[in-house]
Amino acid sequence: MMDYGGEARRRKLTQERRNNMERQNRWVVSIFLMLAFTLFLLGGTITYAKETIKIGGIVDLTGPTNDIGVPWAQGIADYLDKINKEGGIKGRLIEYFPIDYAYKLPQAMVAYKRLATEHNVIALIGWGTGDNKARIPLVNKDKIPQLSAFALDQTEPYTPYNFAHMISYEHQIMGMLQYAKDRPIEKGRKIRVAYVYSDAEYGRAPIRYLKERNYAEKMGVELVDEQIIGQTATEAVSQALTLKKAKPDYTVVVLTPKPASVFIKDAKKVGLETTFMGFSFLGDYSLLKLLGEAGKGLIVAAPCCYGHETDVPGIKKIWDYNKKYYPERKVIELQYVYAWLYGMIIEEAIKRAGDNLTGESLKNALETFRNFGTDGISRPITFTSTDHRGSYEFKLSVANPEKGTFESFSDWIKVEK
Amino acid sequence: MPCGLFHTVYKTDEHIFKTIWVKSWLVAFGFFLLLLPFFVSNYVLYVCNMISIFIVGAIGLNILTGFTGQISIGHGAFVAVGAYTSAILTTKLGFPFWIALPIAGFFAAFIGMIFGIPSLRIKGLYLAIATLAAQFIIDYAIVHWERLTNGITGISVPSPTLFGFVFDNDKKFYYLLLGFALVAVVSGRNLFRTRVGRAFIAIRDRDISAELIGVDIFKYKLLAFGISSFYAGVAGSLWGHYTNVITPEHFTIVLSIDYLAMIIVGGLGSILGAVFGVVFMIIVPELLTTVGILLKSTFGEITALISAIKGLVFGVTIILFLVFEPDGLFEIWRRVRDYWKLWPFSYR
Amino acid sequence: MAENISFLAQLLLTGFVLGSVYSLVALGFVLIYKSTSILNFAQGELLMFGAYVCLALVVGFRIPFIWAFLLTLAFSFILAVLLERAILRPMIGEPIISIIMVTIALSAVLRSLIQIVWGTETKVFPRIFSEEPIRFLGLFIAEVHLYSLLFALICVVLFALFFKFSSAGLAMRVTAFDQQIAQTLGINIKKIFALSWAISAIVSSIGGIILGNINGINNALAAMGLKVFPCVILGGLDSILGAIIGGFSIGILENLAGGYLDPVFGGGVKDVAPFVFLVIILMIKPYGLFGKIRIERL
Repeated sequence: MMDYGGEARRRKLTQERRNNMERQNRWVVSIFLMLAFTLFLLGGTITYAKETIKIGGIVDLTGPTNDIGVPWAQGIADYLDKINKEGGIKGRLIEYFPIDYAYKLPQAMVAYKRLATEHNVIALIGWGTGDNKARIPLVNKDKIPQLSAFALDQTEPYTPYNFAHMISYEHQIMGMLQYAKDRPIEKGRKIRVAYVYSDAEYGRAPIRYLKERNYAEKMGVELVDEQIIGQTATEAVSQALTLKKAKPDYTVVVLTPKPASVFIKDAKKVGLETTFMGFSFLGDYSLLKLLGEAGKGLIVAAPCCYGHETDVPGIKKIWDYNKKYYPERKVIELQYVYAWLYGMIIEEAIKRAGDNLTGESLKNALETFRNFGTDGISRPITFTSTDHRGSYEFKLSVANPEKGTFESFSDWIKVEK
Repeated sequence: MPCGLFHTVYKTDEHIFKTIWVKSWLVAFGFFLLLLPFFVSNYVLYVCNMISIFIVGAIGLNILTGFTGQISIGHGAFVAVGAYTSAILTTKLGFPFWIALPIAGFFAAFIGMIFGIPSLRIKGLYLAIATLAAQFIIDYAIVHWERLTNGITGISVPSPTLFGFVFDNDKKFYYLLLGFALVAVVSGRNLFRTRVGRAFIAIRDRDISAELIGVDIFKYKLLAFGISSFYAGVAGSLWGHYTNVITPEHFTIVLSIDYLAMIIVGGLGSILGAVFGVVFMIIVPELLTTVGILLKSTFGEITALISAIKGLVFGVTIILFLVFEPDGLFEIWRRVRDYWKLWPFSYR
Repeated sequence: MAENISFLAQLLLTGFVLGSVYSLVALGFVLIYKSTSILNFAQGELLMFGAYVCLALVVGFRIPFIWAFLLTLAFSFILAVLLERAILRPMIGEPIISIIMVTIALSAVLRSLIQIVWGTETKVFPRIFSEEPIRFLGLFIAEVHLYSLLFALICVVLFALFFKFSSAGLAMRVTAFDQQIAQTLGINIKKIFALSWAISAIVSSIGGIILGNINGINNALAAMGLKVFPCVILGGLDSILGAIIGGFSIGILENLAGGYLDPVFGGGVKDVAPFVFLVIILMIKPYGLFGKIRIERL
């Protein structure tokens, strides 16, 4: 590109003026930089008056799963805050460190390093399947119990420092297939089932597991197609079209709300007719808003009660807290309830761990949970020293787009291990 | 302190460290680096280790883009190639780390040279776009060639061992990585005292003229891609063995852009600039996280904003640098250094 | 057999619809490149900006869609002119890599700002067009797709006519051809630069509003900015006609690859196919179908 004569000369003059200013600013800048560097080195060593219980959270607030990640993060933060507002546990307050990793594994690793070594947390709340799995050897080594939003799959049913209260994705799908099997669309032929899942680990792992064991065949249903949708897809028409060719009766959807809404809407646009069965993270009110009419008939496997089911005592407690401190909040998402449950579990575990509170003592305390009641929000939770999956039960619910909620229509369904 | 430099022999002009003053500062800094691990937490060591790893990669990119003028937006892909090669060699074939590392480097160099072949036909912007495509294609290959790479799940990479001594914590890795970073810096700097290095610079400045004076530009362009990818591969391998796990998510286009940002902010065409750029780009986001944690009075609002603010700071910093100081941190450093070098006789 | 043909036809049709949006964005991209030789990595963010602003006006301020649409175009115009003045003008004469980096940084800034103001959840426009499919010759096409296609086509044709026949369009073409000649003819080049950025932003905003109507708005829309590269390389970086044709072609190609190759390769082909195609084009015909071959002088 051309350089105009006038422009160049003007730039040279400002250059000189800038150099003069720079000499004065130089001192200011270098002192500032030194301060910042020192701050960085010392960061995280700020202490409170009485010794606090430090808990860390690696959450997704701005990444591709943040539509469900944000309510989740709020749920746990609110519960821990509630503990503090009620005076802490035996007088000790909880210091909670949430770090947003935007669903990027490298950020999750840095965040973990920070939490484990700078802040010395004794427990960790984890979110994404991929990063949770990657952290398993680390938390085992550092002896920090990790409470994750996903349950270990069947290939890794137990590891010392990973806990999950929710039924695993594989079990949810197995339960849903069971439900489908009992409701044939057309008599005289096998029920046709398709899997639509995310290309991220939380989608691939359960589907891989089910396919390896030929589960569909064992159940007596016919697996006719499978499609993969990217986390950040903005359209999924070709996948929907291919799926339409296979004419599935039931389509299992293992996608978070963002890609799920794209897929289901595109399915409607191309005239694909099927019953969608979504895994637990699709029980999201904002998803229904996105889907609109297309959400009719969506079945979701929910591992705990919804925020609008206020007749459940545990849910009422959630609303009590929120009415007091966040009165403008009108909806409590399913994810918020899950995370709130984790808060309850942590509180109980800390109480049981006694005075010597370390990661290891917390883990031992967790393993003493036998049918721990959660005020009806979910089925009672049991952790043993060989099984860290809290529950194997879930409820089926169907979407009601007019009301914008999900209606549970089944009892608690228990899935065999 | 000398007021200037007075050389009587060509050899002394070629010296990298020209005065005793500089050399003694260097020794002092070296001591500081060696003693650092005993005073700081593991987290700080982790950050320093990341800096060392990225220095290796950034110097590679600087060789290609800063010195040879070939714009590459696919550097992250070559880091990925190195990381996965090393991981597969150590896990599936049982190679020890010390053999896997150079093989990973050479294989990455090989792949780099393949993607450099288009540089014969296309240049400038088109080459940049081609490297962008390379990034996406390699990304796809890694995710979908599950048999080889385990796809999205990634690979668990073992820590390196040396005669029974296992490098499995941050402190031990600190010294190892420091060594590698040092080698990268020294070799990079020395590259440009050689014929090959000068050929690179000639290609950057005016490649048609370079060809006229006898520089085989195709050969040297390929060599530039190769050498730069070798550095990238080594960086990738180190990264994998340090964090003990690699997944395709580590190596997306964001990584390539980060590397580019590092060398541009640091100063294109300068080895020391690459170091500055890396330090800057790694420390600033961590500082912001610290600020976020310190200000965590209202949960959620700050923590979510911090992530967006990081992106904002990243973009704004680069724009500010490019508009006001296109030669990067290195230029600022050079001005400060020259000012002090000639003090109190300096003038502007 | 009939099923296969209808499958193919459906893929082509949807490809065509998506391609229309791609060509709008590609048009904007080529415009900037033609006038200023800048590769605009922030094209996707300009698209997002248009979508979000329109949404904010429609939902937040309850302005009827038509006015919101026009207001959004005005905002995009202003934003582009400001950006050009403040950031791109000082970069005149800098090496290409720096200019590329500036647009990359700009894209990060815009994305972060959008995130700070509007968050990252998916938002939807109030339903203007239904999503019920219309049956047409045995093929399904959703109303929203149909109207988007028509709208995009109209815009493309309007802009093409603008360049060919209006005096501003003529001035832009002269500037793209040779800046010195343009100056001797009395054309104010700085205004032309600002104008090309402005029109590019407007066109991208339209694309963003269309896309936003189809499947909602979130920050994944920015990925469009990268998808535009295969389109413009295919068409030729400095050809407006090429951008249009490239956009449609890539849209169709993407869907064909998704429909036929996804089952073979296990998914994800749809996203990578345009880039493979890009590399192939760069090897065979680097200047694209309609681009001008650069002659380099010492």
